Amino acid sequence: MKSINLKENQFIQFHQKISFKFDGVKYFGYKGDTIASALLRNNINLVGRSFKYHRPRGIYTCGIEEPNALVQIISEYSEPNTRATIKKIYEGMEIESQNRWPSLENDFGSINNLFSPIFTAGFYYKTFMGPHKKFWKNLYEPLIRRAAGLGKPPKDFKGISNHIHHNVDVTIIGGGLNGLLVAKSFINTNYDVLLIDFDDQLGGIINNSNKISLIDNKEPKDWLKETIQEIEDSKNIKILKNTLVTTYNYINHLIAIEDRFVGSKQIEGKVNSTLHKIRTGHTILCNGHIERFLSFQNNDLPGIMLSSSFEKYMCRYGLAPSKEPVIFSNNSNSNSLVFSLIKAGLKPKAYIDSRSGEEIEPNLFDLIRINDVPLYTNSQIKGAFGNKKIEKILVEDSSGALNEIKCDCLCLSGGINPDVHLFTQSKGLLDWDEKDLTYKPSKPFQPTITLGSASGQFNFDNLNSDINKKLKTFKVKQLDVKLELNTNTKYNIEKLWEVSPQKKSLWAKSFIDLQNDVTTKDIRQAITEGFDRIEHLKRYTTNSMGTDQGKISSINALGIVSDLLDKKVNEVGTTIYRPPYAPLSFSAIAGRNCYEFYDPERKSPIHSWHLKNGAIFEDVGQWKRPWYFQINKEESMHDAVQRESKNVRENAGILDGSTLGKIEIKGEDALEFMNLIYTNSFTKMKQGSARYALMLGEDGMVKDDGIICKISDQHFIATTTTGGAATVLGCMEEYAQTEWPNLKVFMNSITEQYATFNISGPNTREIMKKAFPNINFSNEEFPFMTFQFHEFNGVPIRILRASFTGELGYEIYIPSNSAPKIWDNIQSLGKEFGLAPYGTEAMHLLRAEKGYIIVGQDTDGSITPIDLGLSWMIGKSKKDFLGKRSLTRSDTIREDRKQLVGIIPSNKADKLEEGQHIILDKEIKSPVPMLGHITSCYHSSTLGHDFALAVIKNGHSMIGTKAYASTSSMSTTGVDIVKPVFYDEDNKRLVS
Amino acid sequence: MTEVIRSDGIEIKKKVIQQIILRGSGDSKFNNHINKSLKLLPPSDNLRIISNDNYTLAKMSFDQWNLIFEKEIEIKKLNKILDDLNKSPLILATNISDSQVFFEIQGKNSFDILNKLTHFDFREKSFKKSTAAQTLLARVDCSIFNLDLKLLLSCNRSFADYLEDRLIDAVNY
Amino acid sequence: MLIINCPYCGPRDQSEFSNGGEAHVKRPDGSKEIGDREWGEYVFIRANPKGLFYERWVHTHGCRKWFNCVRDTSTDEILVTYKLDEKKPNLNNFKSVVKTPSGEPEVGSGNFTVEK
Repeated sequence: MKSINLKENQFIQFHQKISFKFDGVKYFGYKGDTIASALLRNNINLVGRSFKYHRPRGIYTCGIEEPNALVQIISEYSEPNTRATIKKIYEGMEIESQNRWPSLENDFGSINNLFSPIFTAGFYYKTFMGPHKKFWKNLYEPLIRRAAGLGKPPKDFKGISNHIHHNVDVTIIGGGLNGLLVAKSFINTNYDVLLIDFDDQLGGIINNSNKISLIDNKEPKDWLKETIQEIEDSKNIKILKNTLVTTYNYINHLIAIEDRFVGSKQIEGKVNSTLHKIRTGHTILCNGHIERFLSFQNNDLPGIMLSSSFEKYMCRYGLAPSKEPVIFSNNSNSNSLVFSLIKAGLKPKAYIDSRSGEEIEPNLFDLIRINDVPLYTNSQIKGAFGNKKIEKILVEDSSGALNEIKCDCLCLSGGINPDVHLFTQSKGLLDWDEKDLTYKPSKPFQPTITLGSASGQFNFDNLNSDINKKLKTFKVKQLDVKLELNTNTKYNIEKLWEVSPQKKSLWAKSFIDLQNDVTTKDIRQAITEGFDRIEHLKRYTTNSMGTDQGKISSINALGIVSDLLDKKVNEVGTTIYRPPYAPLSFSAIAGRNCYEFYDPERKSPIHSWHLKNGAIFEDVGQWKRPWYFQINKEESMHDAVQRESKNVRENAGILDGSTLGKIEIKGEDALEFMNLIYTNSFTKMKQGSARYALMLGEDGMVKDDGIICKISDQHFIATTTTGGAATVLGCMEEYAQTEWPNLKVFMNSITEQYATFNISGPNTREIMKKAFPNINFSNEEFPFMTFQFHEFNGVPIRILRASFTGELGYEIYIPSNSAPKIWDNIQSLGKEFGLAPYGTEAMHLLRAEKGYIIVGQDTDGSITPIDLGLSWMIGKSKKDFLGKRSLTRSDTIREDRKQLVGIIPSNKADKLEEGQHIILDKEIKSPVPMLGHITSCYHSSTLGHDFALAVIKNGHSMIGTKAYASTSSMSTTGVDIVKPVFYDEDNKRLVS
Repeated sequence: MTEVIRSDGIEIKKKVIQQIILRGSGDSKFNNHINKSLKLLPPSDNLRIISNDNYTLAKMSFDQWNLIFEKEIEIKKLNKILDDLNKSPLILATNISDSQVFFEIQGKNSFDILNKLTHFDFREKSFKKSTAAQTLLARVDCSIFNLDLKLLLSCNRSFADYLEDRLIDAVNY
Repeated sequence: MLIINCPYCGPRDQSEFSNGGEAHVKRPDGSKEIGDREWGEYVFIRANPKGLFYERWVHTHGCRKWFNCVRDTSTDEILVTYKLDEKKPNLNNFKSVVKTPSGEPEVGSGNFTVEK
């Protein structure tokens, strides 16, 4: 195919040569070229191999609907499946073709073509079924995986994307003739408007074709320049170019992707794509139409392309891919291509139309006659032939005779379809137009307006009236644009979906989907096999399931199916168009929410001290909590945890407990409210005292726990677990607002207002006396489970005597901004008493030695307080509280429920592991009845052996007996079932 | 106060500002009690901000007001205000001065840059001056106060480092 | 990505809200004996109709207030939001053609594309 440059083009800069490489060979193009236009300039037709049959493929279109010219950009982050028809070249770009080995010319995979008679519809479902189930996993799948896909995934991706949110009143999608006219109407009105176009030039068919000769008596390019300037100068309209709207969600929420490096190499460290998230009051779809092809034998040969695409190469890219293409059409849309060719001094080799002479427009007729173009009416192409490119076609003329025409390029037009993808994504409905033979937007679901060819309006005479009618809801001026056309104003088409093959052959292929290699024969076969519903048909044949979503062909398939089934196209329906409209990269979707920004990180007020003092952190929800502290780089986690816990029992330890939730509850009815939320009764509780409390779900299961401090009957402070802070507050608010709005009570979160220091160990009292010299910490003045307010260095603090470790301990609540200084002070004062920091792991170990549960570790939403042996925490005289009624359901009063017990290895040297199952038999013989599992497990240096908490059936009655714990190597460890407390059962160390 | 970033059309500063959160029914008894203590009648329209020389009071919801002290006062004075307000059983006043961090944002590109982190509609027609809002920004719960000459953005202190990094990132990318 | 009209903050993005399930489900207050079945239905069972549905939402990342709405579950259209202390609207005020579990709305379900 010999192309010719049309140098009078205003978009291509013919003085700026650009070199690029395709499959290792260097070529030249010009600034403004796409990869496709540059390749065509260099007469390169073969650009890829098809998915299934590895047939040679060329450039079929000039836009995003391209099914075959997909290439891999090596000089960037090796982005695969890039449409050569969209990506603009830059100096030094390196491109590789896809899906071929060892080369494009000689591809081993073309052997598939030989086997193609068996690769028919449903091949995968029928073939890879045997001879044995294992064959799929071990043989077929790996093979298919290697052969699957088109491009190769990038290995070292460094692209950066960001997000921009927009809130506007009107979004106009498409900056062509209609889009620009609509935008013009909104200039300097009160509406905030966004005008979006995919190209880097606004204009649509004004740039891409010669259909229009004058607009308001001006040359189209002059009118365009003026109009764009007016829109750019306006105060209320923003233009986004190089931006493709991929998704239309409910309600009027659009996702669009903008390429930030069009025509230049992506710069590392700079944003290369922006994802626009647009919330708009109204959407006006002016996104135009897509031309469709025709099916005949070998309609996939390189050198065949759509007629409007050929015209777009001429008008938009200053290039005629061939000097004398043949044109085959069934409609009037291709008339402007004939006009463009003649205007450029070229001549079609032949014009073939399936319509009769009377149906062909007079102006086209004249053009053809005057220029001596061979004309075939009532004719059809029976097939195209050639070796890796088109060399000749066979035409059946009106008399039925077959004519052979040698040609290097064939332009097809099977009709035009309004681009309804976005409209149907918006849940709008389509209707089949029997005259124009296409689906047009009908009933919208959202505030959506369609205009121009996107609405199915193919008649230029109706331009003004359509726009004026549909924009009536807005207070904008009426339009009265004068258009003069080079071609016909009306659209005419005669039905033609496919041409019957010239000869019957196993290898004769007439394609209906160029990307997934689906032939019209596949469609017939699928229907014969019973897949006559369009959604089934699509998946069984994979028709329109490629990355191009069958944009140039899916309507043809519906036409064929409706003929085969003898049903109206409306009855056949259409498959659902799913977003995104074109492939959307995950990096664009992620935006900046990746790596260290993936999830917010929450830090306690003491965080910087932890960093400086060897803390190794763990994630608790979004919080960073010290897991353990390393005294030197060699200390292992196990050693650190043993050291920390031993030190708490022997000297003193301090833990940063700031992350635990704290809620302040106040109001006249605070007492009644607290009694309803928690299982405990707080009525008789003394002011200034604290109590460990449980919160249940309405199903009776433990949901959270904490310590409740009673300041008065009207004023409480509750703590929660770290992970449960938001949930508990949310639950309180939910019940206060929705269930008991009559109760006068308010709650505020004070989690962040105070830092919490948990200090415990036998030396704690001495340390506290030194740190807070004005406070009396004697057992009489400050008993266990009481709290006091004090002022320290001008700052209000609260001290609660409580401990989660089982040692004498205190919780100190200090306003966060003052906390770091006080922490430092306590650290230095406590040194002489052996005070050392400990982390969450040591904390878990210490509390487990006392049998204290951790909600979410020892409970999983299926454990009641009774299961935990905590019946004493239930206020028996309370009439009602969350979950009360559920504690007497038939399921919750079962005797064989899983109950909390302690587990120690019968042989003290044996190891235990969290998650081990407790079973009765020493040998594992399936089926094995499982009694329960170990929920928490640690090694205790105080006890000298492993110990664990577990929930097992009938646990309470099994205390004192022996059982076994299963190991991962299918053996068992002998265990003793004991009371779930391993240390200081009488709590002497706690209360003295 | 520290400067977070100053760039083309935007300036962000980080501050700690004293703040009290007030819960109550908003009825006349409530209003009178507040007025007695602060010499400022709380706004009744939802999301309205009113201020005098000493205090700024924003109604965040039908039963929540945020009292902001743009000019720092002594802790003793703050505690006295707290105690006075809490004397009424109808009111819960909680000091949250330590629990939040404020970002003061100015500049003609403020909203464009913030719209890289949030969907919130900052346009004058949707978010008037002297109004407040609570929303998500960079996945963090934030309160936004649209004051005459600047925007105040507050978040819980534990998120402050992350939010600061996200704000800087939004200016740079 | 719906827009939900919070009765207190105005229309906001769906991402600021959390769904709270069926609305107007009264909690038995323990003042009288209640059988296992009836209590179990309160705890575990909620309606799930195709069509108009009374629902609760909470403005989690905003004012944290609860409110009710009527949503057409076949199209996701939120027809009205109302405060907790306001009377629940009569469903007959809203047009919904979905009458049976297998029915589809005239437009907007996203399960079909061609006008019937």
